[in-house]
Amino acid sequence: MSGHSHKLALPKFLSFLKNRPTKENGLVSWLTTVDHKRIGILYLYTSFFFLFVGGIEALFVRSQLSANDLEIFVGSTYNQLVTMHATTMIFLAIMPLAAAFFNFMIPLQIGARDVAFPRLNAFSYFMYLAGGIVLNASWFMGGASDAGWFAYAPLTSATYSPTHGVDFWILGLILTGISSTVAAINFIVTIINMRAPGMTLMKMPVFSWMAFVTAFLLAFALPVITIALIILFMDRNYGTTFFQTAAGGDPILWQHLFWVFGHPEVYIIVLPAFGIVSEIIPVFSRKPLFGYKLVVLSGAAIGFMGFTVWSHHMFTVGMGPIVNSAFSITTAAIAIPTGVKIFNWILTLWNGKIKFSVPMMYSTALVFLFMVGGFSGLMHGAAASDFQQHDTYFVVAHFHYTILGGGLFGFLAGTVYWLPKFFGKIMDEERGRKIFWWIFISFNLTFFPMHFLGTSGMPRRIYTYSSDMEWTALNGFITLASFVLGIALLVFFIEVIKAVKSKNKASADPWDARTLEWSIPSPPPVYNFADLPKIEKIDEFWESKVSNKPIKTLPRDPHGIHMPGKSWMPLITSIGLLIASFGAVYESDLRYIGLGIFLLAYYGWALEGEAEYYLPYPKKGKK
Amino acid sequence: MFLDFILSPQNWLDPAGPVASDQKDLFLFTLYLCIGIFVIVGGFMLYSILKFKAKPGDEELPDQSHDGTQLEIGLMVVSAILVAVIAVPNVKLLYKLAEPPRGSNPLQVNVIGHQYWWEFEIPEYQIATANEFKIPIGRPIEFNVSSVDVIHSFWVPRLGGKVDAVPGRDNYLWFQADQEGWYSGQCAELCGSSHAKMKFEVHAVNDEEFLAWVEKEAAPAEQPITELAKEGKELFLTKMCVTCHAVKGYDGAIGITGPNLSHFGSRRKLAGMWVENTKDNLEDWLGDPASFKPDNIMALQGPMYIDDKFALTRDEIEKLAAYLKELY
Repeated sequence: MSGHSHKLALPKFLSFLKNRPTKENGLVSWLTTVDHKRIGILYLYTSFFFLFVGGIEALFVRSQLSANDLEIFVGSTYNQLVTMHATTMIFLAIMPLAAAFFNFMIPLQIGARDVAFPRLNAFSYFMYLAGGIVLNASWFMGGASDAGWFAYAPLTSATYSPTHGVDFWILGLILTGISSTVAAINFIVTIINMRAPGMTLMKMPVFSWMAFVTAFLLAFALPVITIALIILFMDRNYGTTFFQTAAGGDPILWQHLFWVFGHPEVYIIVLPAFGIVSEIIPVFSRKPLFGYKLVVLSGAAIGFMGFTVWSHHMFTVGMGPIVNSAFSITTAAIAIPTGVKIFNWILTLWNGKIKFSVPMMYSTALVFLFMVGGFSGLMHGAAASDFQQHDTYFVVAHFHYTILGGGLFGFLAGTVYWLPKFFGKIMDEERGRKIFWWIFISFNLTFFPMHFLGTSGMPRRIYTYSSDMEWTALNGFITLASFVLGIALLVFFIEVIKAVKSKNKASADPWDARTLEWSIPSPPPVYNFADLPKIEKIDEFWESKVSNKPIKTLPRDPHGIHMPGKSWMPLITSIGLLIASFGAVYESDLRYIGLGIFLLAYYGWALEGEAEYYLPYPKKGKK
Repeated sequence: MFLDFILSPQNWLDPAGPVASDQKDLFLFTLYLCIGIFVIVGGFMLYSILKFKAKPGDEELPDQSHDGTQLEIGLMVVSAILVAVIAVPNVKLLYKLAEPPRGSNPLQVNVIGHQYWWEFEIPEYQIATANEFKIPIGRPIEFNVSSVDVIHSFWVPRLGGKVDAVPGRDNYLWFQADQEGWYSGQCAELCGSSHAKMKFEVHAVNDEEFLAWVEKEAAPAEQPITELAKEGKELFLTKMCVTCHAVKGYDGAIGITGPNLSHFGSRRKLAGMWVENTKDNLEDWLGDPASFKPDNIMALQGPMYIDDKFALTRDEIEKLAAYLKELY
């Protein structure tokens, strides 16, 4: 342990704070961890869990729709399922899945030992978990929100949603919002400051680039929704009237605030997946990514343009032809940078020597599925005909093709691809292929027919329909397919866990890959890089393999390997805010207790001692 | 069987008027264009996948080139052109659909969304009705759409796209029916528990039939004839139905929370267009409206459904139903 950190003169009764937790194993080590890899694993498992929860909700929804006039989940119950399915999938499953990869991979890809703010990183995870708990607690405490995931005012007002469901929903999303905002800032600072020497931004791996863009989207979009949620909470509980027409408020204001967040959110989901695919396709084509600069720039352009299209969710609100035309055109324009990505992926395949391992199967599937979703998006962008498609199953088909086809498929690819790095184990190739085909086919059988339900006039979010609408047969078919998809996904995750528990040890670089994370053992040691790399080229690791020269490294620090210290404070601050959230829903004194815990832990955070420690270096030549 | 959906009364690819027809044309134009590009780009990708599959054991590296600025710029220009090709007809149609053709003398109809039913007013003829109304064919109908509670969305797929019914706002929409017939419509914005049950129907008829209907709707309600119905009329007052429902010519029955029932007997369907307007269905509805439409206001707030003192007996339900059926 070194002595060059500042010693704080703590009052005696606080002296226990001097010693940071140091447990390396067991529950305590996970609760106090600040290791980005462990936090990544926590994100991964937690998002798998919520993917399961959201999937069950989806299958409940599909059961109710499997035939006309069913009464399994009726009215409000059905609306709660729909609302929570979307909220869970977006905020608790897909976004955190991206966060899992960000956490684990960014430091490894840029040659760093951890993120810039390790304790803040742990705090992000615990806030996400707290948000998930608050959101889902509503099921057991008087019912979840039934106002839909975009929660249009005034349906969310105390008049039309008198239960606490919406309050739980608001607070849950505020907590996950804090989680994502903090994480975004953490990743931005990490990427700006902690890249290995020589790795200029234009030599950074594409996945880290897309994470970088996504982090900016998060940092700009999430405060908007967080503020809107706070306003909504005040409308419901403290008598303000921002969204209440009768008192001079405007419900459409909510829609603008929501979608200014909500559309960038789509890119928050798909850009990380695009980043993963942009890593995988070159590796398995054994070629560099075609047009690296344009892929990066188009990602940034998509992120920027994502903020200019929000009102295409509101074409039917009555904005008039001028506004509708403007947003039609900005929407269609996003097709240009998106097209660039697709062309570059295909041109990377061109002339390659393609190996169809499981990650590559998911990646190429993503390109196809995202094209389907992208084209239906282009069609939605034509406002004049979108007046028909809007709020029908055509949209439901569209966003499942983009969010699952363009998002989840990328994360499945990433799971298989990076599993060796996460756990040092590799998935069974044969079974992986079979599972892929089951998922791919059942996905299309579930969501493609929804286009036809849309053109035949079935609105989204209706809990039932009568037989004379002629939607029964197709809905029955879709439900059947959705159960196959559900089971196939479940089998996928069982297979992941089986692989983790198995003895299929993975080598450091099982795919013959290109980026730095593969230059260190699987799984990486706690300090990631014993010797920090010096970068000269894009894909330095690949170049070093081709030229058969080791990557240059920085001289060793005489103190040892610099490591961040563990801490209880991220967990305790999060518990404080979790308790405060329940207090806020019920307007009870728990609020003050929770905030008190938060504040105390916050001081503890500032005061606790020895922020870092040093590990001895391993022997040279031994990885 | 799986193609049944084509026969749906809400299939907007089977348009029955100029607005829906224009929208279908634009939809198909963008669809065919998109399918075209998908086939080319997707085909190119599929070809690359099949053609450049690595042969087993071939460990040699392929050509490592990874740049083609001119190619990239070319592809971007092509994409931009395609985007413009869609934008032009779209913007044209947006402006065309913004208001009815000049000089066409549209019929004005006010549409007011309620949880969970639609109110229709034709001010020109002083008509107020619910969930079913008639329009003349061949004449543009201009709707002024609003809501008294939450946001709904007014949509008759075979006649034209939708517009939201927003409290505190007046939105406009027009369409025209070219063929006689019943056109099914439905709320398209989640509005609460019974969103699914917020259906309505537009009956397009010839001018004669329309004027006959207008005359009948504008007239006061019929007086009950049978004994049962007469007693039902009394109950309509004593059970406080009048607080929420209006019946033209019935003093005191001027409520506006629920549908105007002046000519209820002539309606085809009830309970959000879910069942035929028969005596049995009407009695079932009066007995337990929540089983048809969860959380509807009558079931949530009507004294006869929340207070045992006012609960309707079997006998009273029969009388009320008899009265309502005679409101022809």
